[in-house]
Amino acid sequence: MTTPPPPSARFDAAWKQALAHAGQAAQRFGMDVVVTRDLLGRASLLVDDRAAPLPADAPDVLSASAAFAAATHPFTGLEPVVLGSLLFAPDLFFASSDRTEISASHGSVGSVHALERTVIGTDWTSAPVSAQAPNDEDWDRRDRRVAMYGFKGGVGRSTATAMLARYLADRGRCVLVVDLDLESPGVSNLLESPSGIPRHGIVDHLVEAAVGHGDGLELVARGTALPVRGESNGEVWFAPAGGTPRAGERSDYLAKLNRIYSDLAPLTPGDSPRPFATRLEQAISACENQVAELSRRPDVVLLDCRAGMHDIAAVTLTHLSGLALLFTVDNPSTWEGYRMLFEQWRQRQDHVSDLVERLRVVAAMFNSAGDINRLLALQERAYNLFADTLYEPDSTYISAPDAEDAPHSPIPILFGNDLIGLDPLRSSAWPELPMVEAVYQTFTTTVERLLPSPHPEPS
Amino acid sequence: MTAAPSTSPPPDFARASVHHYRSAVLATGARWQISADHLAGLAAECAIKAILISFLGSELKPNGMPHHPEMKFAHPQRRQRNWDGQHGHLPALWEQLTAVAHRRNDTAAGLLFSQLLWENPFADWDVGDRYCDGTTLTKEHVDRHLKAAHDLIAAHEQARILGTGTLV
Repeated sequence: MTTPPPPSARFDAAWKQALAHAGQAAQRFGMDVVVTRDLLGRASLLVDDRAAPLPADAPDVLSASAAFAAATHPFTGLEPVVLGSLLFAPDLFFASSDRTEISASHGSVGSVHALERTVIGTDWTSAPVSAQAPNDEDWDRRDRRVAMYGFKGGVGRSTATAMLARYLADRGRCVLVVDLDLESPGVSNLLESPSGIPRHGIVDHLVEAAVGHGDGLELVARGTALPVRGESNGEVWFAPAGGTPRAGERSDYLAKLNRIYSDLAPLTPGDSPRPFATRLEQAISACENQVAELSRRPDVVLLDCRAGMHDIAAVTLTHLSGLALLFTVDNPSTWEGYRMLFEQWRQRQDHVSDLVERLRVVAAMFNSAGDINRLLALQERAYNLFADTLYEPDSTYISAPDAEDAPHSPIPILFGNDLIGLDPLRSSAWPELPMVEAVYQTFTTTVERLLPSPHPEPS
Repeated sequence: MTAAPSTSPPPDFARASVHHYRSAVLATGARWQISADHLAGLAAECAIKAILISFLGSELKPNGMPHHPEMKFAHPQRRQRNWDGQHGHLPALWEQLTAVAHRRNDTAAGLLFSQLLWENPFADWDVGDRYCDGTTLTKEHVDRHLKAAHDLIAAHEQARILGTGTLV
């Protein structure tokens, strides 16, 4: 007779079991529990028994360990149950700021936290950089940055970014557009011909600053493809993803791109570590500083970030921007994508309310054809999603599904066949076509209203 | 000559590192600086060997000595030109850790330990210093060695539970 194979759980089921066993352990031992998940997805239970050490061979501990291992196999950590009293550096786990609260302690039941180590993606749920070291200048910089994001690509995000930049400059603002779509850059081409692209880009800053060599890069240029109209003193600057090397220079974009996403150790011993979020913030700040040196401080910074669940988008939306425009088309895969994203954010209750106030849905390429009901349908779906995930039960938005300035209230960008395949460099006057202005009018005026006032003129 | 297989149980460098570290802390409290410094270095040695074996590909020889099988050829700048990859004492052991960690293409493993590798905190430590008269041993030496040993042991423990991500 052959022995049946041990029961096994797939990745998701194993984690669900691990969390359930963590809750049971918090109840059984009356102690705080941290459930860890390592790079391969293997889980361990860490029981904080430092105040009243448990014997490692206590029947309760052994049975919890055996049950946990059986339920999570093969996603079980090297030691299924670890006692805090036996750890060398327990605070690395029980006091880590990376923990996510699963349940608070109540009565004689301990709290449960999850602590995960992933290859990438921790920025989706980590606390905002600016919240860790806030000062007035940091807040002002963040408030002036607008993240342009779409869960799905191909919804006209980059074109809308260029149009918005042009509109705001027409109104006298100094605008900087940063191309953060590093895997498929493009917005710079809407703003400038290839000959006007600066020598370096965001990826150059990320690889050079990693070795303390970030000064002296040429990161920004003034866009000429969208001439500012009339008497306005507005300006459009842009920072490309990658620069255009000078004649005879070589630039291996892919070699740089493949090295940028790491969290790094301090450059100098004793300094703080440099997570990716901080490094990207420094790259954007360097671009802003260059515009300020060459002309004046940017009033608005548009961050064109790539689609999908990606670290760039995670950092930009949750850490680096004061306003995040979520481009949406009314189809199931888009809503399912945003639901995944919002459920990630909901795990960090400590900063979700701050985040919600910075979000706005954009109804991208909205083919209204005079049918207002379609926009209302999109609004209802957006409302349902926000109400299910990010809105607190006592939020005023819950009772106002049709509130105009709520995060779920869609800002429409109309759809026109004439926009498909537009080559802005061949027709630099394209933004002035009446059709184009009509398409973007509600979008540009609404976003302008949501922005901070321009910097005062220097006296 | 081939070393005879050891009849002792295989070494447990992780546990030994913690024992030596705790002993070093006790010795510091009793102001036994020479012992404290000696034990701090041994704690760090054991932690490094545990890291090398658990995460960076080192193995135990039949006689219980740890070595790295890919490190048989001496680095041109190394002092021990005929090093066969065997892990011995600090401060040379630190250079071996650095060499092995930097050889790894595994970004995550490299990152975890790169934070520990800036400079060798044991450059001024010698296992023979347990015979010294203590007149040149300062509190700063002992504190630095203790902290380095602590960080190495914590890094090994964290990597065992969470995988080899960063220490951020």
